[in-house]
Amino acid sequence: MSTPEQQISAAITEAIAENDVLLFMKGTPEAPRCGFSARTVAALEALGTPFAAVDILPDPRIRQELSAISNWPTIPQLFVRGELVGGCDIVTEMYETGELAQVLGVEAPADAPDQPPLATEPGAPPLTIENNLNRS
Amino acid sequence: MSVSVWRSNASGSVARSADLATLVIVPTTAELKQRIEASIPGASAEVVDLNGGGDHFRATVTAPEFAGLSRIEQHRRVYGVLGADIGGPIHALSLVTRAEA
Repeated sequence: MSTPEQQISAAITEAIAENDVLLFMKGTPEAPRCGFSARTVAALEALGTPFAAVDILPDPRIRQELSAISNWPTIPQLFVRGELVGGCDIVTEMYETGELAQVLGVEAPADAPDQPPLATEPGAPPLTIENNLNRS
Repeated sequence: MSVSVWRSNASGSVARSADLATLVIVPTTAELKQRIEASIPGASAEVVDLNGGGDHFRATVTAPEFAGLSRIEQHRRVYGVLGADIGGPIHALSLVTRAEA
C-alpha cells in the first residue's frame, strides 16, 4: 500500500507528464486566490495558450509533494513539457522578453500587452496565508 | 485581540522560546540583504518590504556566479540561502536575479 503522500506525488507526476502546459497555483484560473498566481494566469491567457491548472490549496500535501518533486519552494509553478519553467517572477520576465511565447511554441498575439495584465498588485498580500511551518 | 503564534524552528530569524511554541520575529530587509550577500560570494542584494508587514519581500540580487546559470538555478540559489523561511516567516519573495551589475 502506498501512503497518501505517495499517491499525491504520483498524481502530480502524472499530471505533469500528461499536460504540455501545466500551472500549479492557488485557486483556479477563473478565481485565483493569490496575486502571484493571478499574474501568471494572466501571462498565459495573454498569449492565448491553452493550459491546465492544479489548485494546490485543497490539501497542504499537494504543495509539499510538489515542492519535493520540483525543488522549488513557492507557488505558482509553471511546467512546460514536463520541465519547470519557473514561478511568477520568471514567467513574467520571460513574457516581457518574448521567451515565454517561444517556450510555449506560440506566436504572441499582436494585441498582447507588453506586460502581463495585473489582476492584483503582486505585492498585495495573498488572500489566504498558510502556516507551512508544521510541515516537515 | 488575537495573537499569531508560529510553531517554528525556522533558521535565521530571531526566535524566542515560549512555553508551548517558538515565536518567530519577522525578518528585516537588512537581515535578508545581509544573509544573501554573506552566502553568495560577490553578491549585492537590494531587498524591499513590499507591504511593510515583514513577510512580503522583493529582492534584486546580482552575483558573478549567476553567469551561466539558468533563471531557475539563479532563483534556487537565493531560495537556498533563505531556506525554510520561504513559506514560513517569508510568505512571499519576489526575485529578480542578474549576473552582472
